[in-house]
Amino acid sequence: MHEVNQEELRELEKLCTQEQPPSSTAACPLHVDCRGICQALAEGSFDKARTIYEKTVPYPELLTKICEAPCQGYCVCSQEGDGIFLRKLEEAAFLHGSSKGSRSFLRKKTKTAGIIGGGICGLTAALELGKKGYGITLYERLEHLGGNLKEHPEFTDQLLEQMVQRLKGYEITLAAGCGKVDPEEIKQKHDAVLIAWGGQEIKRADEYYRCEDPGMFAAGDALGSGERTWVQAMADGKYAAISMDRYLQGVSVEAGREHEQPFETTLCVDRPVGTGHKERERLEGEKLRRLESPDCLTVSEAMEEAGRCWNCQCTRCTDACAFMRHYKSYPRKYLRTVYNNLSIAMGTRHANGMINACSLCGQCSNVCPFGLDLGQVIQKAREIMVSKEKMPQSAFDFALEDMEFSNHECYLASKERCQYVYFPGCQLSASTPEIVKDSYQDLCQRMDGTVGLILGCCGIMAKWAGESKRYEKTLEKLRDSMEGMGNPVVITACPTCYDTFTREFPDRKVLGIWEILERIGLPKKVEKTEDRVLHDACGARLHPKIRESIRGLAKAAGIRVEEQKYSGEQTGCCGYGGLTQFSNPEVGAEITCQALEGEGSLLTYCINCRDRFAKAGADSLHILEVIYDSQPDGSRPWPSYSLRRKNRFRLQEEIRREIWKEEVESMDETKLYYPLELEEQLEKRLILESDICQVIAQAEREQNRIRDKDSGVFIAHKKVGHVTYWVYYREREDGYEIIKTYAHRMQIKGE
Amino acid sequence: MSQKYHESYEFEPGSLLCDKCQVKMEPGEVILQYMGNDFPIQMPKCPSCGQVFIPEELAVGKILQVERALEDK
Repeated sequence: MHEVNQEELRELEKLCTQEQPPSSTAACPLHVDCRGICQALAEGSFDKARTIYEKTVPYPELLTKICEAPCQGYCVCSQEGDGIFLRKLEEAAFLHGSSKGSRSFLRKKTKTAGIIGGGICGLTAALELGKKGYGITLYERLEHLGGNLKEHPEFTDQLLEQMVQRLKGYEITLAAGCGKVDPEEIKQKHDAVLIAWGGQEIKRADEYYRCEDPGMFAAGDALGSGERTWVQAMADGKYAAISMDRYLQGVSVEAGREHEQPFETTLCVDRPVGTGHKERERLEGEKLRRLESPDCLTVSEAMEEAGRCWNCQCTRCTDACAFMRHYKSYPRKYLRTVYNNLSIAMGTRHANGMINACSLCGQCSNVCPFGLDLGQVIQKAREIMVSKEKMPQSAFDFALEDMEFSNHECYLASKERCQYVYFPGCQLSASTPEIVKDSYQDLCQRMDGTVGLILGCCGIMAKWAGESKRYEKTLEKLRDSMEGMGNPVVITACPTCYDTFTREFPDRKVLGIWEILERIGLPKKVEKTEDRVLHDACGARLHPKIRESIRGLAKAAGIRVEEQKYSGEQTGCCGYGGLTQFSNPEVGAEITCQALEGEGSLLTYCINCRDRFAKAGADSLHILEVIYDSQPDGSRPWPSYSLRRKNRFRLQEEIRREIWKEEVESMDETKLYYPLELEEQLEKRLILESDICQVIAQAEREQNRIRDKDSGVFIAHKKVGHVTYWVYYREREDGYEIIKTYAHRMQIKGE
Repeated sequence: MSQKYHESYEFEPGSLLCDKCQVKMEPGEVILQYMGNDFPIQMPKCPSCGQVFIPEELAVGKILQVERALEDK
């Protein structure tokens, strides 16, 4: 896999409908930007609203008076009350706003067109073609222009005069009172002819208003297709003019005109929440009377009515995901950004940071009305970046080293054949090694059959980092270990491991410890009586059975579960998924904050969720802490990266020594002393105590260090892996006092 | 890029000693390398064994900035 397929990209882009028009605009034959007008009016910009309206409507002075406003019935506000009175708003914008009156440079064309019929359709076509520079002759049988418009009570001579004034701005000849004309004869004089003579004689034309005879067009009532609205007749004139212009230019008449007629939008709009939006009940009394009266709205009335607009947007994913909001855009644009970023041959790949900040949790696909999964695209993008050697080394280096640590120094796998193998997951061992030990012993005692153990990472960290080969290698290692045990049933304690095992080893039976505990009962009586907000793990998104078991266990333990807004398959990530906490701690923290959904004590069943929430200062407990810990402490702090490593290392030592009765040599642990502020800095700079120890060990061994004369502090450095670490320290009797530490990836030449 | 990148570190002569050689560190040329690029800078260096010193402000400042920029190229 090296490229993203353009076609695939376009198909995905179609799923994000944020750029689709609001339902009212889609329903309008002229597709007036109703949302834009409302937003402009709501902020008092009447000029802007008028400009928006005039951009689409050829005769605004006429349409504001006679439009049937189909938009109002389609306006989303009508779902919960009255649709926005858009015609009244347009009228107010036209009356209270002023027009820029700017005209673009007109290139005169040599070709001419004849328009037969001076009704609304013919007048519109004449104006639109005139604007494009064609010489137009408008043939009207009668002395007066306007056709059926004259029957409309709002249509006045003054209005007609305004419209004629518009026509006079272009090369348009009005041939009123010419009597009935023969289109064939007119055709001899012009390059194209439009028959728009009302219903007097029905003509046949295709959907682009073309008659059989090339250059002959027909629109409006001349097509005789049932009852038509004024606004539709105006739209017919406008679109027939587009067809004629394209025909006269010799370009495709059909291309790119899919959404010309009224259509149903795919934009999915929810009622906006939060402040600033008034209750959308039915309009009553004086307000309604004013909106329904023939008088134009005042400025303040128009602003108030426009303020009812929901400002139609599809915000399902951006509401749910802090990552989506962080980069201030929406999936359709993100898709294009990802694609462009992958296509850069030379130059800066500005979107690397964005690509590496997604938690790949799959929430977007479950909240999106069309199921678009941006995470899947970003996962693929990361894999492409790795394969092209364009993945920034600093993004996931630390996490991948952590995985290697789990799967080498701390890897432990039973060698005997067994019926079950317990795979608690690397981070459970890192955060609460005691729970892993207790739950393992519990399974050994109470399961009907022998239980083996594998301590390690399922490989998900490599997958998230886009390191497909490393991921495959990890799976192979696990496969080998399981084969050595006679392919036992896997019992995991991590929903993400469960997801990985069920996906990657479909022929194996995989269970979660939660469903076993549900079946065999809790190891001891747990009598908690408290309420906790349950945060569903993103690893359990596809596994409703896990979510069910957890709720059952919580109940058995006496915890009353409160559900979150985003729960079940719509749950959000805690900030650990996709390795965001390493590649972009800022976005990671925002994601965590969103997952917390405010205050309250939390219950989780993924240890990463528990730890992330603890880091954010929330009281949070893992379900296994509730079950196995004698005194579960929701305020247990986030275990530092160094502690997480020590915990894993000690756990495998203890299990080998205490449970498997192997002889194990304990590692010498150098004692380091440092203040709390430095501990925070180590976390931020991703520096481990083990890195510091390696720097000091080398310095002490080779005396390869600098001494600051005034303070007596030693300064030493060493390259560990890809990173050079610097440590300022003082020697103590029983260890070292650490004063400062920092790191860089640049190498010092010659070292 | 190497042409535009000049960094130096002001330090009091004699304040830093190479503990191995027991001599004072002096300003000297240090070449930093990343992703195939060389960046010559003036840093405290042991005139005897060549041991160098990179200060914190440089490591977490300019060096980090350049590393990130190069990684996105």
